[in-house]
Amino acid sequence: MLRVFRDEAGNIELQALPPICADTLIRVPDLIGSDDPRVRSRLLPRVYDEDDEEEQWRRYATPELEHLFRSREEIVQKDLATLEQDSALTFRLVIAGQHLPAWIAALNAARLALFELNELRPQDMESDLPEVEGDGRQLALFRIHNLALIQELLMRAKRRSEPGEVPLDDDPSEGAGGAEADDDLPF
Amino acid sequence: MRRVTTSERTGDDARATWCAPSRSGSGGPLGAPCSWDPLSARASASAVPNGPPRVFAAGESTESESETDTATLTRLGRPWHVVVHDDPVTLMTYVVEVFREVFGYPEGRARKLMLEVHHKGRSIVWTGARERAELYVTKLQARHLLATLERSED
Repeated sequence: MLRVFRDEAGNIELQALPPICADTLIRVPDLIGSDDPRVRSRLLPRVYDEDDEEEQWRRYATPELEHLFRSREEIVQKDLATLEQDSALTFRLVIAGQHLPAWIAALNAARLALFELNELRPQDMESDLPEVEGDGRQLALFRIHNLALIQELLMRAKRRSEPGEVPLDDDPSEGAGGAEADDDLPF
Repeated sequence: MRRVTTSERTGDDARATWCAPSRSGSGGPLGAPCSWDPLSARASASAVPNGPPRVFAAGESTESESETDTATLTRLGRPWHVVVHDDPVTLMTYVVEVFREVFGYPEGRARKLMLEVHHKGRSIVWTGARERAELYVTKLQARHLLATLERSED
């Protein structure tokens, strides 16, 4: 069963990751770096109604965001190098503490990319897997839900100040205190 | 360089003047106060080399010039809404966390806005000067929330 620990230095270790989880995590950099127009338009959506203002936005703000997303790909890729088997059927992954904000945002981007690339519909997100047509789309939905679980656990780990195991169920201490700024963001 | 007068609801000086981020590389830093005050410059717009755009035809009377200029300034000075739109993928807990990080909102307010996005499909999460609104949209898009900018009708 998946377990998540935070050490003294704030690093996060995921233990007993099922193979499908590990396989999905390996795909995250490629998903967020996908040049598929559906993915690009979702990750960099239109901001202004008026074309001239939007053009200015595309010229000056979009390159900064693209640069940030590429940095995240590299950060995630770097931590994925620690992925290794910790039993015959499971894997472990270590995420550097200062990389947590990048990971949390990257997992969100990967989920959005999977949704777009597999042409899932909003109602599919609320459906049981067998109700979704197509094996590929069912698998994509399964991966989206897997990444959601890991994203949620990493958010809990980020909020914790104490080392130790991050609870998989609801943490009553959640929501206390103010949110910290994301360290990987230049703005 | 674009210059606008702000009247933010956030408690900033209602007459503060801000310089738009430089689109040409010649302007001031994002959100930095600039020296030109359109309220005082309005009376002598022709003397201000980098004043607001002249949208009136040559030969119009000073009165008409003044009226048009005022309308332009009013339009430019209108606050902007940062709007977040619902998407079926992003986790609700993540949206709450982003609102807290980006705007510094307390948990209750962040949650209320998230629920408004979820139930109504969109929510105005902040209103104010354009430059800061753009900065917030950049931060929201950096975290993959669907955020847009709309000029206030007020």
